[in-house]
Amino acid sequence: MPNLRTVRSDAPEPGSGDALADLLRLSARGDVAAFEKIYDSMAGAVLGLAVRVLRNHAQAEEVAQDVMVEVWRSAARYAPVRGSAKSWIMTIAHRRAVDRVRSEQAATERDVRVASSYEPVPFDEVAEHVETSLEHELARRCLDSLTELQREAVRLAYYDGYTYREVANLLEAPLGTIKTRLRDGLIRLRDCVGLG
Amino acid sequence: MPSEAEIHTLAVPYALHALPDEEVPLFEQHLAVCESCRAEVAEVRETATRLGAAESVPAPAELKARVVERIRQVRPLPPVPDEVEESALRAAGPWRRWFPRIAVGLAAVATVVAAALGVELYDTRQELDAAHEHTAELSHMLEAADVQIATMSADDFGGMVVLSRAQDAAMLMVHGMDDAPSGKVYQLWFMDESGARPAGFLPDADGEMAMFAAHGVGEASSLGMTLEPAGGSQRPTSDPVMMIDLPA
Repeated sequence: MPNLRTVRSDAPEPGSGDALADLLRLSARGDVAAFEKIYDSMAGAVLGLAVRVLRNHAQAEEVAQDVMVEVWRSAARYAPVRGSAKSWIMTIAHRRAVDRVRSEQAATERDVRVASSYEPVPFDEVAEHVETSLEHELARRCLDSLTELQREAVRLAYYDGYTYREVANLLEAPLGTIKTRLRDGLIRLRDCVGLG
Repeated sequence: MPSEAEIHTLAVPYALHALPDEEVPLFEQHLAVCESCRAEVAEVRETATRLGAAESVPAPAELKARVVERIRQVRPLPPVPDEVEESALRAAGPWRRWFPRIAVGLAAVATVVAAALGVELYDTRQELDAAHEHTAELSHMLEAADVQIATMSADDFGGMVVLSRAQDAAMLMVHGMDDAPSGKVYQLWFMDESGARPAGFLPDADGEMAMFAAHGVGEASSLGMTLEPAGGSQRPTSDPVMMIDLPA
């Protein structure tokens, strides 16, 4: 079938994105070997994001497992016109992690979770790996290039899973300001990580 | 009710899953008719993906074993939701000869139509982008829970409408129609008991497939098309050349 993807001018991440999309197509037909390749290239990122959002390795592993099973189940629903395969998978991962953190929040007071967030998180054994990762370094440098309000808004919304209304409360800023800072922050990040 | 401009500003929070649940449906309704919002959501998610991937940690081997064990008991979903596939298949009958691939499982009407358009009808970059835009919108509509398809056919041309009342949107595809004569346009109308509301103009397609996305369906019970002077009219000034009844 002719493939409209080839006309995209803004195809994200040439190479890995396309290879993943091809693997998703195979996986959708029940190809376990193709799925295992997807797993091998994405499980670390999916788990890492879940750990970052949930701050709990056991819960993060449960979420990562659910995410990867969802990727297998829904592979045929991935539409290349809407973005890269990597982004599709990471969007599922973020959605699941945020859903989990909000359902935990429903059970506990959010304040308690914030207080407990200063406890050591159990990924010490991989800290060195993370610190030396180039991608991590680039993201850290790009986040550092934002204004403080932009950075805090992005951090609270994306990494901590707060709604923009909660972010506005936490940062004691008007809703409109938070929405603008989030948007400006994302645009600067986009340019900084080389997607602009 | 937030204004149009205010709704736009929710694209970034939506893309980051930072909209409170109760605000999601309203924004998704808007997303259905806002191509630039969909582009922004996609772009934000690509950027966020970099932030997320930067947090990578080594995944324990047992995790892979558990996942592979689980997926062996899970059947991958077909490409489009079942209810959409079935209702589209039922309604698509006469259209199968136009899109032979629809007959083989209707993998996704959107993909097929776009592929047909992209290859057979469009050759300039700009037109490919236009088809591309319709594809995104069409596939979004096909995901609506209430998607319906209506068709009509005449001797030498036919039309199909993909309709979602929830998204307040209709996608019209017309095939086999000659371009409007010089100085005239084909104008579309939403018709209901109170009369006809202008819905837009059918693009020239030289007898091939013309696609048109219309928003603001409202309570319209049919979609009509008349030949009007260039620039269009406030209300129809000639007999309809085509009428498609819209499912309730």
